[in-house]
Amino acid sequence: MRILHARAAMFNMVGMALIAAVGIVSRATSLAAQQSPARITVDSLAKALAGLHESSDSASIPAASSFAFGDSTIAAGRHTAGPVAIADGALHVRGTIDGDAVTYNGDIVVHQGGAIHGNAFAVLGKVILDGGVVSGDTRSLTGDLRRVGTGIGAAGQSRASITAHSLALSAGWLAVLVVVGIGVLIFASTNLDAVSDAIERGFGKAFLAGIATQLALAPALALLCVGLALTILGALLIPFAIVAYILAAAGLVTLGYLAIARIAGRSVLGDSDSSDGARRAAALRSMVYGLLLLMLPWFVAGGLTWSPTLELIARMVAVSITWVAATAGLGAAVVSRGGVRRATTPHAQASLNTASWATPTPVAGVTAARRPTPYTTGAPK
Amino acid sequence: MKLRNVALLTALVASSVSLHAQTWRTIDASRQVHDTGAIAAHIDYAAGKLDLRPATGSALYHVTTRYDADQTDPVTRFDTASRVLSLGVHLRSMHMSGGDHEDDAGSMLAELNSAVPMDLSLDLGAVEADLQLGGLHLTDLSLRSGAADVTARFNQPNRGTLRTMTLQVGAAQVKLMDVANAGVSRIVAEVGAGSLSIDLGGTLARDVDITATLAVGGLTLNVSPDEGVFVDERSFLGGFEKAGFTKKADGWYSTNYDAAAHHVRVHLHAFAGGMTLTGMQK
Repeated sequence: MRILHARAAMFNMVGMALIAAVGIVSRATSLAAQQSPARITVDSLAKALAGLHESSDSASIPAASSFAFGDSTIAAGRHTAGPVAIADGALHVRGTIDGDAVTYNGDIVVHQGGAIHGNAFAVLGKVILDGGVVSGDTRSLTGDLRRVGTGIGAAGQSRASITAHSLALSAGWLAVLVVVGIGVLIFASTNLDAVSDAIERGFGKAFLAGIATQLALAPALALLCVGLALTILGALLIPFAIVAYILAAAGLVTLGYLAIARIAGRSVLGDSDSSDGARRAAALRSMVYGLLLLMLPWFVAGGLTWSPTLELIARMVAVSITWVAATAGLGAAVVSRGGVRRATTPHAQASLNTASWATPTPVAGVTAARRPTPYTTGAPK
Repeated sequence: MKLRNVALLTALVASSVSLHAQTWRTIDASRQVHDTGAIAAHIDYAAGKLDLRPATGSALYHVTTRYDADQTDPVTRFDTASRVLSLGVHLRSMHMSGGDHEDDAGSMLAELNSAVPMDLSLDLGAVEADLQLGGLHLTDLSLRSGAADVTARFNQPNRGTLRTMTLQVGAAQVKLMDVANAGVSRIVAEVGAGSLSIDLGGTLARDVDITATLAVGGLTLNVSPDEGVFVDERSFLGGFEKAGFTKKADGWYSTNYDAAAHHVRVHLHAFAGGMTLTGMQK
């Protein structure tokens, strides 16, 4: 029954983490969607045009100040020098444009008798040849463009999408780490315990070991490659060795980071000395809480996109916390040899130093016990 | 212990996963035909799905390209002075969006005018291409493919005379169908580690000379039983199956070579690659 409760708690914990992640993303997305585009202004148009990559296709788009707003018609028989640029409206060409025609958020319609002696480019619109002539190229660009509205709306929407992206990225990483953590807890919990022990015994030692490991990573890889290059077979193995080396390093960092997360979570939630199942549930709970704590600065930074300065400070804090955690975790993972070498605490060492190991019988002696014998009333056979 | 290793490996792989945003855009570009002077058309497509076919309307070209604006730049340009048409998508960085799913890959549908004579060159990267070349007015064709999966068809006769067809196949798989309809007289093929299949189906109007250089890749040549085949072989480890051929001073001749109305002459240079001839009379 207690195991069932523990498992239910595990599932609840994972479910809550995932629901929270999905909730954050969907909330941010809906906030972005609520920013409905209003009328386009010169400023918002300038921002939108700047959002287009300066490819050869969009290079011919004139500056935002050159755009007129709303529907426009080049009357029949009239000659107009290009470029003619229209935003938030359609351009009807019945006369002649000597140069390019560009629209943003509107179509270009070249009617019978109309002519564009240049290129026709409709951004978020179409070029419709209704019997007219375009001597150059016709292009229409649609898809995921930065929509523009009024000044505040445009900036707000842009920030909202950036915020949504940042929060989604953090939530994604959190979800990945939780999934990886569950896997490690299930299949490599002893390794994780050993790494956690190494951190708890000496955080400073683990941190220094982590820095030393980071500094030694590249030289060690170089040495490994040089060593392998000495033989023909070894030279052939160099690419595989490099991949394995990188994977091993990433694995150690991940293991150490998860151990740090577990310790951080445990420090908040406290220890559990119940049954094995409950301990596992508590370990998972600790890890999820710890990961939430470690990722919290990233969520905060993602939520502060409205202020570049605050966002920068928050990101620096997040990077620092993540780096310290990853470094200490890496160091602990290295010290404990990936969690293979179990810690030998001073207390355990002291107990090993006694003479108790020398005999299976404790030196203090064993209390004698009477051997139980069956009670019979009958005569022996 | 194995389970533990698997878990650790899973942790490694999962920890290396990164999220990547994509900005999908679609550009639709075309140009009206103002004259039928010859042009040179270059299609340079790095990755995605490419469909090429003759245009149905009066456009010189019409191309619809769906691309990831974060990674790629579309190219649609016609230089009126040099009469060079450039179409395609250039990679801006080496980080490619996942192409495992149809929705995640870029695509390009290009239509070329069938009345305008053109030298057509295609440079394809990691592309799945379906090229309907029949019905175009091709005067020269060059196809260069890295890791593409290309099927080119001449299911209609070429409107012009194709002087040379140049095929450079890296690690790609390239299949050309009904090549006799192209009206080609000379094919130059270079195959690295990929495979090239040339089906000389359709109506062969003239003799064809094929110069094939094979590194370790393979060439499959399908000819009609009515055509005479001559093979001039210079090979190291590779070569071709000589059953049905007669050795003469300058090479190997099929039994019907002298009686055949049209001939296919193959000049084979093979290092470790092999040529397979199918369909011929033995």
